[in-house]
Order: sequence, then structure tokens, then C-alpha cells
Amino acid sequence: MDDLLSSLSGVAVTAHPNNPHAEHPRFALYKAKSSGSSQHERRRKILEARREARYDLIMHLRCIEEENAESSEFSDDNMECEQERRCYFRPKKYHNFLMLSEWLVDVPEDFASSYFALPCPVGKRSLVVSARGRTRAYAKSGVKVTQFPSLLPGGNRHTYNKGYALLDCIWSETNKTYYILDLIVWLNQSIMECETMFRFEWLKSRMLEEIPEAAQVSRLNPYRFEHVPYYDCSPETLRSLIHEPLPFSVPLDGVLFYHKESHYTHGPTPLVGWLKAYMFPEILDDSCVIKLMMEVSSSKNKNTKKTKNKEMEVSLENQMESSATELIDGC
Amino acid sequence: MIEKMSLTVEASKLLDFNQKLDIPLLDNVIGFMYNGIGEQQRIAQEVLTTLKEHPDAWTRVDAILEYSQNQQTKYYALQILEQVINTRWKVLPRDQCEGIKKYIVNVIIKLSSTPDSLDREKVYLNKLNMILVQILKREWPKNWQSFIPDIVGASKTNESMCQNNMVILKLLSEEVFDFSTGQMTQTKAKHLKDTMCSEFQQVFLLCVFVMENSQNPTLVSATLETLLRFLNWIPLGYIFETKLISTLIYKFLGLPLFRNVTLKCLTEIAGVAVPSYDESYIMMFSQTITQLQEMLPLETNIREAYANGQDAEQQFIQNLALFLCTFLKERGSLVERKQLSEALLKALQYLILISEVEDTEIFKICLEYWNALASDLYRESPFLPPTGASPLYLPRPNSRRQFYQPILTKVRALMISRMAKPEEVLVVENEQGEVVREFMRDTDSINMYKNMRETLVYLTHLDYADTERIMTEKLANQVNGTEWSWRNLNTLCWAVGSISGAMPEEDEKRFLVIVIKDLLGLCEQKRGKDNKAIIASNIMYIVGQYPRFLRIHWRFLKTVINKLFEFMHETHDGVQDMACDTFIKIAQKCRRQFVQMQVGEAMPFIEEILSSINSIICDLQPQQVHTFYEAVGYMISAQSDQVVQEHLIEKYMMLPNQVWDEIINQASRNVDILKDPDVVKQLANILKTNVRACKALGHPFVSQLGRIYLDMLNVYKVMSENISAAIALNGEGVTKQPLIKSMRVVKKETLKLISGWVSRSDDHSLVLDNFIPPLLEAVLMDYQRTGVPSAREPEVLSTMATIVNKLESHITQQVPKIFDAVFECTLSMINKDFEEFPEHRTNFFLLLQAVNTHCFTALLSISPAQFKLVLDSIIWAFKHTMRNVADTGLQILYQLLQNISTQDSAASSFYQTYYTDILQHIFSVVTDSSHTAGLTMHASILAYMFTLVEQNRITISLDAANSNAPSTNNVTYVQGFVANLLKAAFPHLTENQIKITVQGMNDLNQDIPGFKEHLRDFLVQIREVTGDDDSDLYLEEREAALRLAQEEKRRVQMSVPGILNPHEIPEEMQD
Repeated sequence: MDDLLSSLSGVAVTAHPNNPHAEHPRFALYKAKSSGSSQHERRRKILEARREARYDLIMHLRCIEEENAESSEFSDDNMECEQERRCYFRPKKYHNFLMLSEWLVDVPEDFASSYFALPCPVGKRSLVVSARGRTRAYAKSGVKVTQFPSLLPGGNRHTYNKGYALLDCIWSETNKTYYILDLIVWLNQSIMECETMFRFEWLKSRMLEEIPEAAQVSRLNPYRFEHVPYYDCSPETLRSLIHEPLPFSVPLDGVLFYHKESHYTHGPTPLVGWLKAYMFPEILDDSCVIKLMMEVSSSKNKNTKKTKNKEMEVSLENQMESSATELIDGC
Repeated sequence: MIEKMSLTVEASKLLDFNQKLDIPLLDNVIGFMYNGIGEQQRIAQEVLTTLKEHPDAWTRVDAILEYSQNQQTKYYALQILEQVINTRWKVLPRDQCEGIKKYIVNVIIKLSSTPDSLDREKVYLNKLNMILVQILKREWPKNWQSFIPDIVGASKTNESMCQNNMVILKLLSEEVFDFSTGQMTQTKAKHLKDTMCSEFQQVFLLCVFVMENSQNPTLVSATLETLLRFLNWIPLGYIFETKLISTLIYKFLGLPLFRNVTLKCLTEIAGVAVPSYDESYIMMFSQTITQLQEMLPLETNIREAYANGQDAEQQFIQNLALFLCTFLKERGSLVERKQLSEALLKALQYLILISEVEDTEIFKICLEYWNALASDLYRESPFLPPTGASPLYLPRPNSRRQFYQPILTKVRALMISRMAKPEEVLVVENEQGEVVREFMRDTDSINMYKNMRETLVYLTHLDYADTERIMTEKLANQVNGTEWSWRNLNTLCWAVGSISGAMPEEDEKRFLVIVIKDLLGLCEQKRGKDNKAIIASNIMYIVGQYPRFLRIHWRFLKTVINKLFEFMHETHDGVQDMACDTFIKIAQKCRRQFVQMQVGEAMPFIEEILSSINSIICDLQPQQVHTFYEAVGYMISAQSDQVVQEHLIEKYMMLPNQVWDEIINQASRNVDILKDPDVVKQLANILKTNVRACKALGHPFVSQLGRIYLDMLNVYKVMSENISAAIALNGEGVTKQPLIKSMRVVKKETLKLISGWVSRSDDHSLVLDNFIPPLLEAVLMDYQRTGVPSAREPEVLSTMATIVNKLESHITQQVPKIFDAVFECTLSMINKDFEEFPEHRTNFFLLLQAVNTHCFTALLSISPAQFKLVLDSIIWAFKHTMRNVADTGLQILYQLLQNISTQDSAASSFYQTYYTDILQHIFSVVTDSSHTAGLTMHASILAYMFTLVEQNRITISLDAANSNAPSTNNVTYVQGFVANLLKAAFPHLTENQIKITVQGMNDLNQDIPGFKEHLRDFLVQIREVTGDDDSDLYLEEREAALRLAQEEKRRVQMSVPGILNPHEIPEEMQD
């Protein structure tokens, strides 16, 4: 039965290693059968492939804006050898456009210096496109969710021909606010091929300098747009990140970790990691198992179920032989 | 070329019966009607119609038929003739009738004398044949005693005439035996049938003569076709005590030209429901099978033969399927006798082959048999261990099962590879422009699935090991690629899903684990999202079909649910929908598992779900979110501890309540935000979520409902006001705008929520005291005040109906208030015609029905004027041709009459005022041909009303002119009233006809089916003028039958003490 459960846990339609919508591999009760290379390996390959990728975002966007859907969906049937390049290929319209994270499983040695941390509020992930006088929000699948005016470039009828923009956001229903995670295009200029550091800085400066009023509600801007501040990944910063008040008034969902050199790519990527707050000690701490156990039991752990799992996992490791028969009861 | 003006002038010459008919002119005018256009055609049509309706038109027919050269003119003439035959034959002078008869017969004889003219004039001749048969129905046998001998005699002289005569006999047989209901009175039909039976011998001898001696293929064909029609009524001796069967089998079955009709004849014989003639049937079976083997060897690939075959060949295979299935089903125990074993096995082999043909109709025929066989074998000994069990403890071998075993294996494989689709989802756009998924319930395909599933379940009970073997093999072929395709995989998985619960539990578990393991491996093996999505969907489908397994294996269930949650973020087409559909299915069947504490867990799983709802549903579309909520609601409904349940409900509704509270807050500061399109959409979504939650939770939803109830009603009022204001400002067209549509959705969902909860509630006083008063206040007043009728929500009426149906008599006190608000204003919307406001119309009568059924006393307390309006509206209802409205109206009336009869005080004045009116209205719809569907209800109501007077339950005199007369006079009064009514409406009916009709209504008033047939007889009669000769109505016979019925009725009544009034019981019976 265990075998069966493990296989079942591993089944997937879209290949998404360390899928954040499933359990974190280190916390899961059953090790899902994983295929392919480790997170480390894949990161390395993608960074390499970056240089060779042919990418024409502008063409793509132009086609989209002219409602010209002649771009072809890239068949993923023969994608074995080109897995690393897949994330650079243009998707159909806005279907699978957003850059998606994986659980942060392998923590690289240079983590503190090569990654940024971005706290994520609770909400719905959306791709916001402002162009030709209206602002539209799309879901992950590419389905248009809603349309409204905004002060983003080209986002309301007064700025009809003043360029356009694409933003990666989280929509908070309770706050009626779009929290901007990442900038993709600004005033017709794509920054997808720019590194994360640059994108984040550019986002911050554009929001603060050009359209600070977008953070307020007004007639032409019914929903607020606020950029989310980013942090470095030194242990001290990360510890304070969780324990101190957040830059937004909605609850924290988790934290995204962006590799400083990654571009904005489509679909899941190992270059963006995801962790829930309670996982910080486990994943980011270098200590050994025993220290782990002590920290876990005393940390501010909201989810007791996870604790239970942890304890079980540990006891399993310690009692290999007898627990095997115990657990496989009526299955 | 005739000019327009002169056409009118010319054509009117045709209508001058003093002149000789100008045939060429007629030909021309007919030409204009069929081929002309515009004005010309219109004039032509007018003239021809007038001519046709002229009472003397038929006198011209013979001239037209003789002299016209135009086929269409002749057909026109025949139409005139047909009409006079059907409606006024009885009032034509006798010599004229004889003249027409002779004329028609002569024309037919002339045209059918040579094969050439038979073929050339085929269409014309057929019409003449039909006319002849119509005449026969009225003339035969009384005025045409020699018809059968004549036609048989003539047939012997001339082959082509014989052929046409066969057609005539066939038509006559069909008219008398197959199509007589509703075409002639019951007594007449019986007489004609008797006559045909008694004179059949000559006809039979003629048929046999042709079959044995004729070399003419078309003649033989026609004879066989006629024989086929005869077979369903002729006395059985003709079939079984002659050489008929063997002639059919040996002479005709093998010949391609005749095999189809012969097989149909054999099928007809096979299906006769008679317990004897075993020997004949045994011979018939073995002979047919032998013959078949030569025509269609058992090695033939019938499936391919069908696919590549011509029409006749395809029909042969279908007929063969029907024959075999009929024979085997009707004579099951016979064919299982030892001497027929071989033939039976061959027959079954044929059926297996035919079952593989790619044609739905043929498969349905075979499926019916397989189903009957499997269920029969199972039911014979349901507790017998299946054949796959160990032979050690088999008490007695079941030879029947053993005999059928090899065949059943093949049938299993058949079912599994052809399993039908279990669900059908239609993607449609609803009124609000939203794309919704609708689950179809009763399609052909779903019925096929049900039958196949049932059959496979029986087969599994008979031998589950075999079923398992076949399925496992097919699954292996999916994995190794030899049978891999999406279609094959789906079919196999539907089959696996269909036998849930049929295997013993341990074996089922073992089997299921293998299946899922293989499918998981397959999913990993296949590349591409499309493939993976299909396999994953199939895995989830199977898992959802086995709740028994899920309930026992918690860890497995949990893993499945978590995987479903993962799939709710999958962007590939259809996966999210599949995940939500499976989730709700499992939630419904395994709900308790989710609220219980499971071994190895820290809390019931429902708590985990509720804590992370947000992240689970964040990528779902609104519709899918609603399904998700309904699913979780089922889980919560399984929590029996009320306190725990309330806490769960609170957590469950937290998200939508948050948004709701926010909006209400804002609205209380500035009510205009309720005009914001986004806000209105949000409200609609939240209410839809609530509706689904209520559906799942039932009564316990009350804690959530109470929380939002008053605010919800306020929102309702505001929406209403906004809509009315918009209409006042911009006219009715504004209702098509998206914002107004959205607002109406909010209103509708509010009403849906309230009626949904009330219909599931179990505490009357809670509902009545707390929830009804604000509802009536907000919703009813609003309905009445709405200025524009089209802005009124029809759901208000259906909600009220639901409430009345649920609370029943408890809400009687509020009924006057409800009526005041909705009755008259709605009535005025629907009483202008039969079509406008269809939803209001239907719901209005549903509400009336509810009140009439459960709160009748309320109807007695309203003012007489209002009561009259109520009755008028009921009568209005059953005048509709729209079936559902008419049906509801009739049901209300029937119930009303029954209710009134229990209210002594009100009854008398009711009958006095309304009894005869109601009678009159009912008769007007009975005799209206567009209301034939309601005949049973009409019969029930009329019978009831006649019973009331016969049993003297109306204690007041119905005769307005004679108000002091004793109530026992009512019987005669009512009968007289009805008689006069019918006489006035149908002056062409004779006294006798009317007398018998009214008599029957009295005598048959306890026999509703008989009453209904009696009405049918009446409807037949009003279509024809009877004149002086009413002998073929057999009125005396009918009268005698009615007397008998009446006596029987009294006898039954007298046996129940107290049914009859003391003064009705004859003296000698009283002690």
C-alpha cells in the first residue's frame, strides 16, 4: 500500500517538480517518486540555457495586443532534451505565462548572497495587463478574470495610447489591492531578459516616481497597486522577516526566493523557491537533526499537523524495522 | 396564360354546379396552385378549397377521375371523396353509396389487371386502395356481405390483381387491428375484428395457394407482407396446425428476396404469448437455426458484413437479432431442453457475433436479451457461490450456469469493451451570459450505460474471477500498447467503475490496487499533458466509483483528496473541472470519514481543509469554487455534534462572509455602491456559494442563514428599487443590460436560497416565527409594488409555493396576505393570452396548487369575488394547450372538488354556483382535439362529478329553475343538462347517440379507464354524421354493456356497508 500511495502522490499532468500545491518533499509523509535531476542541477542548466535562448517578447506582446492569436502553442510532446529551454518559449496568449515557483528543497551554499526574499501576501496570483485604455487581470490558466481602469501605463481611457505594462501580482480580495511581485513590461519596454535585481529595482522606482497615486483609490484607479519590498537572504534578515510586522496588512502566505540572476521565464522554475514561514527553521538552518527536533517543537508552529508528521517521520527513521509493520496496518 | 382578373372569373365557373365541370380548366387551376406563385397561387388555392368544401363536390369526382389527364387533379378528387366518406357517408342516399362503391372497385380492377399498369399507376392505385378501405370500414359487413369472397375469388383469376388485393387486405387488417383506437368506437372495432376472424379462412387458403404455387416474386412478396400483418391477430390454429411455419422456413427463409419479411413473420410467431404448442416451437427453432447456418455460416464476421453491407443485408442482421432475442426471451425454458442444446448454443453464438455490430439499435436489442439472461441466472440462486469459487464446498452443481458459462465469458468481454459513457456534461451559456456546465440526466447514452452496468453486475456476481481476468488482461494491453487509445482506456475504466460493490470485498480491494497501480504506471510512461490528463482523469473516476474501498483505507483517501487539491491548480484544459467533480462525488459518499478522527491524525481532516480553503481554491473559477463549497458542506453535514458543527460552519463560511460584511458595511455608509457592477457580481457569487452550502448542509445551515438574513433581504429591496428606477428612467429595454441582469441574479439567488433552506428545514415554528415574517414583508410587498410586470421575479411565486408545500397547514393564516400581494397582479399578467410570461404562468399555478392542497380552508375564507377569480383562473389554466399548465389546472380542479366535498357548509353554495359551469368548461376542452393529452384527467374529473350526483352528495338542487326540487333529482337534471349541451354543440348527432353517451358517463363513473374509452368513442362519433342508419354504432349492444357495468358497480358498492344511502338499497336487502 505504501508503494501505491507513493506512486499516487507522484502523479501529475503538468510536470512541476516540488509543486508548491503539493506537500513540501521534506515534510511529506510519502516520498513521491521524483524523476530527473535535482533542483541544483536544473538551476544550473537553466542559467546556462539563458544565453542561447531566442526570445522575442515584443513580437509576442504585439500580437497579443492586436488580438492576433496566431502564435502556436509549443507541443510539449518531445520536450525531453529541451526541458531547460522550455521556460523561454512563448506560451499561447496568457496561458501559463506567469513564472511559478518550486518548493525550496536544495539550499545552495551561496544562498545568502545570490537570492532575494519576497514576502507574499495571501491572495490570488494574477497577471495584470494594462493596455489601450483598460487594465485586465488574468488567472494562471490565461482566463481573463476582470477588467477595470487604473493609473498604470495605458490602463485607463485617458492614457489610451500612452504605452502598456505587464505586472506579476497577487490580488487581495479583502484589501482590494494588487500587490506587485515582479515587473515584466513597462511602457512598452520588456525587462523579461533582465536579471531579478534590475527588475525589482526598476519596479520600485517606477512605482514611487512615476505613479505613486496608483497606491491610492481614486475614480480612475478603483484598486490599489502596491509593490512588495524585497530583502536579502542573510539569516538575520530572514529571521526578522518572519517575526516583525509585515509591509502589508493582509496575512503572510509564504516567502518567495528569487535567484538574483534569473530572467522572467514562463511556468515553473527551480530558480524561484517557495517556503511557508514555519518551514524556515527546517530548511534554512544548517543544524543537525536533533537540534532540528528541539527547534521544531518550540518554534511558533501554527500547524500542529505538520509537527505530528515531523515527529512521525523522525520516529520512522529511528525505528526502521518495527514501525514498518506497525504503520502498514489495514492497508 | 390566364390574367389575374380573368383567373378569378374563370375559376369561379368551377363552383357553378349547374354547369358541366370544365375539366381542363380544373387541371389548369390545380397547376397554378402547385406550381404558381403569389397572387395566382392564392386565388387558385382559395377556389379549390371552396370547391372541396362544397357539399356536392363529391358528385364531380367520377367525372374528374375519368377525364382528367393530370395526376394531381386526380389526387385532389380523391381528397374530396375521402372527406365525404369520412364525415358524411351515412347521410348519402343508399344508391349513391352503391354507385361510389362500384365505381371505385371498377377503377381498381381496371388498373390492377396488368402488371404494367400496376407498376405505372402505383401511387394512384395506393390512394384508391385506401379509399376502398375507408368505405369498407363503413359498409362492411352489413352492406357488403360478399366482400371477402369477392376479393378472394377475383384474386384467383389474375396475378397482378391478386397482388393489389393483398395490399388491400393488408390495409384493412391494419385499419381494423392496429390503428382502430381513436378511429372507431370500441364496439364497432370489436365487430369488425370478429368479422375478419370468422371470414379469414378463405383469405388464408388464398395466401397458402400463392405461397405454394406462385412463381411471381412481387406477388409472393406482397402476400408475405400481408401475412405479416395478419400474424398478430389470427386464431392460432392457422399458424400451428398448418404447414405454415415449415413453408416459411424451408421455402422462403433462404431466398434473399424474401428472407427479411419471412424472418419478421417468424419473429412475430415466436413472440406469441401462449403456453402451448411446444412441439411446434421446438421444431421451428431447430429448423430455423439449421437453415440459418447455410445462409450465414457461423464463421462469418458479422460485424464487417454489416459495415460493408447494403440496406437489405443490414436489415437482415437486425431482423435476425430481433428473432433470436424474441425467441430466446419468450421461450427460454423451452430452448434449454436437452434436444435443443446444440441449436441453442449456435443461436447464442450468432447473438454474440451480432452484438459486435456497430449499430446502437441492434446493440440495444441484444443487450436486452443478455440482461434478461444474466439477471435470470443470478436470481435463480442469488446466494450460490460464483463459479470461480473453490469447488470443494459447492453443494450442488448448477447445470444451467455451467451450460451458459462459455457464452457468458464472451458476453463479459463484450460488455467491457463496449461500455457506454456514464455521464454527459453539456456546456451551455445561460440567460446571464455565463458559461455553465450542465449534467444531463436522461439521455439515450446514459440509459444504455445503466442497462450495461446492470448486466455487467449480474455477470460479475455469476463469476467475478472471470470478470477480473478480462479486465486485468485488457488493462495490461493498455500498458503494453497493443490496445492503447484514449477511447479504449476510457471504455475500460468506465467498465471497471461500473461493477463497484459486485465483487466480494477482499477480492475487490486486491483488484482495485492492481488497477490503480497499473494506471499510475501508465501515466508515468506516457508523455504529453493530454495523455497524462486523460489517464489521471480515469484514475480519479475509478477511485470515485469505489467509496467502499475509500472508507476503509483512510491514508489512501487522504492521498486522493490531496492529489485532487493539487489538480485544482492545474491549468491544462478540463483537469480542474475533473478534480472538482471527483471531489464532490467522494465528499458525498465518504463524508463521515472527514469529520471523524482518523488513526495517525491530529485532527479531523475537515479542519485541515477549512484552514487552507483559500490556498486550495485560489486558482479555481467561480463555478468550480461553488462546487467545492458544496462538497465541503456535505462533509460538515456528517458531523452530528451540533456545537462542533456550528463551529465548522462558521469557519467554512468565513471567506464569503468576510467579503459580504465588507460590502454591507460600505453599503450602510453609501447605498450607491450597490449599483457598482463588480459589487453586484460579488454579491451574486456569494449568494450562489450560500445556496450550494445550504443544499449540502440542510437545516443546520440556519446558523449561517440567520447571520445574513436581514441584510440579504435589505439588499433584495435595494436591488428591486434600483431596477424599477432604471426602468422608469430608461424604459423596459434596460432589462437587457448586464448590470440590471446581474441585479436580477442577486434577487433570484436570494429567493433560491430561502426556498432551498425552507424546503430542507425541520422546525416549522422556527421557520414560521423567525424567517417568514421578514420575508413576506420584504419580498411580497416588493412584488406587488413593482410597477413593470416584466420586472417581477417569477421565483417569488415558486418560492411561496415551496414554502406552502413544506409548511403545509401551518401557514394557512398567512395565505390571505400572500394572495393579496401576488394573486391579482399576476393573474392580470397572464389572462390576456396563453403565452406571455410563461414562467410566471407556470409558477402561479404551482402556488395555487400548493395552497389548494395544503391550505384549502384559506381559500374558503377569502371573499366570494376573489374566490370566483380563483376558480376562473383554474378554468383558464386547463384551457391552455401548454401541457404543464393545463395538467396543473386539471389537477387543481380535481383536488378542489374533492376538498370541497368535505366542507359541508361551503359545499352547497359552491355546487349551486359553479357545478354546471365547470361541467360546461370541461366538455369544451374534451371535445377540442388540441387537448387530447389530458383525456385521462378529463375522464377522472367528469366521472367524479357524475358520482357526486349519483351518490346524492350534493344536497341542494342544481336546477336553477327548480330550486326547491329534492336533491335526488340532480341525477336526471345533470344528465339532461349534458345532453342539451352536446346536442347544441353537435347538432349532427342523433338522439340515440347522445342518450348512450350520457348514460355511459353515469354508469362508468367508477371505472376511469372505461370512462376514458367511452369519451374516446364519443370523440370518434362527433367527426361523422350518422344519419338514420346507426346500426354500425351497435348502440343496443353498447347499452347492454353499460347496464352490465352499472349493475357491477352497484354490487361492489353494496358490499361496502354504508356507501349507499339507505333509501337506495332495495327493500329486500334491509333487515
